[in-house]
Amino acid sequence: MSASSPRIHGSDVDEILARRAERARAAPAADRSEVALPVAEFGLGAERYAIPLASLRAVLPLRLVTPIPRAPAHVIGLLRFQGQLVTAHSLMALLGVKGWRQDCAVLLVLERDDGRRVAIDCEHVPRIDALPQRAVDQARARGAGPVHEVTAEGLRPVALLDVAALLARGAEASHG
Amino acid sequence: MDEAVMDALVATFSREAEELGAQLTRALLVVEKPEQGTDALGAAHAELRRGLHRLKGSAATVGLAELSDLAHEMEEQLAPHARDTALPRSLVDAFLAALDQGLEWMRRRAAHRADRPDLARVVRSLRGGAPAEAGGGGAGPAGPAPSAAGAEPEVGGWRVDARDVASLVADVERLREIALRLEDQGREAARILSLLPKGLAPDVADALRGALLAARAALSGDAAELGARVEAMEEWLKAVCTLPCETVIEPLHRTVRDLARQLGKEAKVSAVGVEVALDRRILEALRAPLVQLVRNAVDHGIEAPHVREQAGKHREGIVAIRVEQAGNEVLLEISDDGAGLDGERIRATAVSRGVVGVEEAARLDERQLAALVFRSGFSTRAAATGVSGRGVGLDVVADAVKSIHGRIEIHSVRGHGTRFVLSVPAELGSSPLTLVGVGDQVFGIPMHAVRKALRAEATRIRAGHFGLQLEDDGALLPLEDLGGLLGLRQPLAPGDGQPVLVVSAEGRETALAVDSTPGDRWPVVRPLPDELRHLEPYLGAATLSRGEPLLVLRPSWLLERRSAAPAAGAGPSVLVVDDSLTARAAHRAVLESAGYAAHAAASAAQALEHLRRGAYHAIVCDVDLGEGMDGIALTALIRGRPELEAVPVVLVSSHDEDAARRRAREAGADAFVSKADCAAGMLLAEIDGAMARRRRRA
Repeated sequence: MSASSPRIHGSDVDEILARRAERARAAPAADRSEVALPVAEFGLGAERYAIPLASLRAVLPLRLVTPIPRAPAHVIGLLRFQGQLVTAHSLMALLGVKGWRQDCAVLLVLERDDGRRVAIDCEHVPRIDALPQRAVDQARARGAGPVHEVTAEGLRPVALLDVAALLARGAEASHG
Repeated sequence: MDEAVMDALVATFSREAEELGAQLTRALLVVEKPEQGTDALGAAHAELRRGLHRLKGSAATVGLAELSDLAHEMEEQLAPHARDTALPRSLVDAFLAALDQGLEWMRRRAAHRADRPDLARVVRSLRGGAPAEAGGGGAGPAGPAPSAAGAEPEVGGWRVDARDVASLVADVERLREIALRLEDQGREAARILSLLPKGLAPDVADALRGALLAARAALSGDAAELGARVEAMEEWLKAVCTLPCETVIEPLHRTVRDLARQLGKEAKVSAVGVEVALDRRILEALRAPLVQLVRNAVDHGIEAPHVREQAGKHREGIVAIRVEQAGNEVLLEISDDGAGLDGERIRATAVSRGVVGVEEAARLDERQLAALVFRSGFSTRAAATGVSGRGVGLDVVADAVKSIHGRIEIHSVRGHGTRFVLSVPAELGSSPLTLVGVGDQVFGIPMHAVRKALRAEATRIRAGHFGLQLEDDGALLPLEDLGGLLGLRQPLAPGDGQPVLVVSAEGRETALAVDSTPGDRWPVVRPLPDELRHLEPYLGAATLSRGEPLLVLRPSWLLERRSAAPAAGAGPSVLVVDDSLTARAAHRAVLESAGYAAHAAASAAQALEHLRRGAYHAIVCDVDLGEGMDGIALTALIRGRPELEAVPVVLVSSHDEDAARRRAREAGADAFVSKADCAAGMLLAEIDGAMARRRRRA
């Protein structure tokens, strides 16, 4: 510490730390009463996507996946997770390939409403975030389909995925 | 007598009564047919008398006088008939009805229900309407109730939740995986032993060798013991969880008999393989579909006796049921020798009922027409009868089979009959598999389908009209490249010494060329997830020792397919080279959606092997290929080969730097695309452009 620095007493330190803690706890006034949907958020190429955190069961390194010849193009392969056989899908192939930054390194294992599990590939481990529920509801109300663009003030647009609908669309396309 | 003791006796007797009921039914179905011959009729009579006598006595022993009286009356009615002649059908009908009533009475009595059939009335009916005597007169002696000491003790048991059993099955499966891992680790110890460097000091080498040998022996021993224990547990689980198919097939004899009588037809069931065991839950789920299928066979399939005779058939139609276990599947085949499906009538009915439109109906082939019978609401019957015609039969069958992860197929020949084939998973226990390698991927083929393994010899390979053939023991078998069949690569004739398997299924055989045969395994094979179950090539998947799934091929698919050589008019073929599974999937999705055929290679070495086997119109290659040669070096190698002059190489990379682009250009790449820019349209444009430029140069 330089000779010109002011001396900081213990009580001052406590007060500084208390104020910092207060700031960290405080959310913007408008958000305090907002219900939020916890999501797992990740990037794919230049786009940002999210899935409801409640459906996420595991994040696994992308290994020990068996490719399936003659399967539809969006099916990467088959893996075993907690004693079950789980199908791994290419999110890029399901959404339409728009470029990617790095080859996918992880698989997100998701549980559907019917209890069955599926996996989708991902460039990196997703980060946990929350989307304002109101913005989510508005996005869902804007149209049917597996991808809902969620926008809100102060929020970077993120595409919320309905994975079950996305997979159903992929299956329909491959059977058609 | 103490009520609890009585209940236990009744419960024990109830099981005996059911068995006796089944035995008596079998005998009655024989004894009504004069054509059986005196020996068979005599044996059936004897069976009837023994069974009725035992039913009478046992029922009396536990104080069930009503049932004992019924059995006695049946004995009385039987007595006047000669022991080697057929019984009148009316009497057999009456006996069968009486048995039904008696067994139902027994079930309700065991369940303490008061609404039991009036067996006294049944007895009077058997006598032809004479009023029953009080106390069931003429009944056999009601013997003294046995003392508690003389009674056969009830064997105790446990009620177990099905989920707990399923959990135990899963645990046993995991133990089997551990056994496989131990085996692999024993082999790994042997491999390490072979890698010991030569220059070690003798005492060090000896110590290491000794330790590794001991470790290998211990691992192998533990693997063998664990494997044996697991096998014993699997057998126990099978005994607990399965029942022979006979339990659901046996009642079908009566079903067919009764329905045929009702419709004025003659028909019987012939069943083989009924001893094959299936999970009880699956059997229960199949009970109703099987009844529907045999009823369908009698109602729709088998003709009236005079019609059959005019067609040169025996008066009595046959509903044949065959059960066979094939690896981890059980096949149930229900066929009749009746009229077969009328394809044109099905087509017309489908249109008139709105199941399909006129144009679609016109395009349907025989197989597709036959499949229409599984559609809800479909029936060729003009008016509903008590048996059929409401169109709610076969669609329910199809749904029931699907609910147990099974499949159902229908085959028919007009004038000769119809055959339904149900295949359902037999999930308990391991399935012996022969492993085969294609490139760097390993597949399993059920061992029962592999007749022979040999090595290819050029002198035994012929070019046939539809493709290559292998001469084997004087016969010519179709010869296929498994990699080609699976669409993994372009098919090529096997080289000398390449492994070839002779695979058989459904009476046919084919020779399959593979790259390697790593050995045999006994894993548990499970069905694929629902969304993949429609994939024809696969029976299911097993788990290898490291935990990765192993795809198990369906033998019948191997025989029905020809290699996926590009057909005339097919799009250009592109080779994708990338060590990333997901990148290969993305490229494949882009290419196939644009009409290209795509093969994938995970390394430069695999790419060169693909190029050796066949021609491609373009190559899309990642710069970074992990271990070994990178994409730049591969490009330079390709450009050095005159035979590949016309094939453009489009390099793809996660790193979009000037230096990388320069290196790509210098190596002779036709284009360089960064993965971030690899949107479908961009990549396709680069490929098209590169191909056009190469064509102009040529």
